[in-house]
Amino acid sequence: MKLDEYELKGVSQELSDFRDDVTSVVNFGKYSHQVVSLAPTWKAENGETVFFFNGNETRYYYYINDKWNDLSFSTQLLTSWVVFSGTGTPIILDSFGVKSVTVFGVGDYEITWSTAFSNNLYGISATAMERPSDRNPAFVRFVDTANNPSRTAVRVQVRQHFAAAPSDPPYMCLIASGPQS
Amino acid sequence: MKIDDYDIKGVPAEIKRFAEDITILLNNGKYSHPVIPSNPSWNANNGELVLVRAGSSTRIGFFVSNTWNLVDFSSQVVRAWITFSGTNGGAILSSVNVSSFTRDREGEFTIVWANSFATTNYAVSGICNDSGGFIRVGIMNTANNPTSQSLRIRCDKGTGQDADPTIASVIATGVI
Repeated sequence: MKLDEYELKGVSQELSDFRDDVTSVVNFGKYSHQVVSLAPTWKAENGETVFFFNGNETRYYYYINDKWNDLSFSTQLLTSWVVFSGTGTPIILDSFGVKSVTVFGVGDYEITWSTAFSNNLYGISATAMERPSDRNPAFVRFVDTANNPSRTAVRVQVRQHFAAAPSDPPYMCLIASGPQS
Repeated sequence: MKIDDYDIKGVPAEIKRFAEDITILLNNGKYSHPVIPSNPSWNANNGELVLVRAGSSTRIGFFVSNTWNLVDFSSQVVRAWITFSGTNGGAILSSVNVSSFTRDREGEFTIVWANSFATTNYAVSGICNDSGGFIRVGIMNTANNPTSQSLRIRCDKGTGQDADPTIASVIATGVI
């Protein structure tokens, strides 16, 4: 809904200015939500929302069903994900927040993030497709090398479940979540 | 907070209507955030919020700590997930955006999404328990898998022997 253009003839200049301010805020999206540094605890009207920022984390609080609920933008969203083909030169099929995928050896890939995480302790999960020649599910592990995962990249290796031989997956997915710098 | 029902007397009718409009707008949640075609870059007030519609991507932009922050609704939310049991014919224990789940044969399962993905290139990840063996979850290498509508997975003990886990989970994300 937008406010109509009220002329308000014959009123004081201050009231005209008030009309202009209200119309600008409402009609041009200039309404600013509250930003608080402590989680809200007051009894609010259902539908009230505030942003929370404490220097490290940003959350969105919304009052529904007579209680405050919140969503952390820093920790409750998927930060990055990639789908790629690992046979031959890796080909990124789709991704979000991923700068590159580099191959180091058979089934051995480094995924570099577009934006670094705040530290190296972020959530990562991955699943790969089995090879076409057998029905042996592949599993994905962290490569046991120094500084892995790092804030800027993670190195993983795909191996076959049976005998654990390294393997290039035709289709591979990796998901990461955590606070970023 | 809501605006009270003020009876403003002695003012022109236009002012009354202006006040009524503001009251309706604020008391009934009719405020509309701006919808813009590209990421915001202007210097805003902390707490300002905009929606961005750029191509197929929808984002929310909010200005906090003197910086524009963005959340991509198309790529940063979990689109679907399922926790299921593979034993006794298979059963969904809980799920979001899953229309059906089928145990095709021992260790092989098909998950059908309630809302299809935009392409076949969405990210999935799965895990299961070791019920009677050391079981892994993998994406089946079979024609047309995954599709935008469904995903086929295999649970296997690693010796070529498929197995039904008593509990397994798969999550999926991507553009819908």
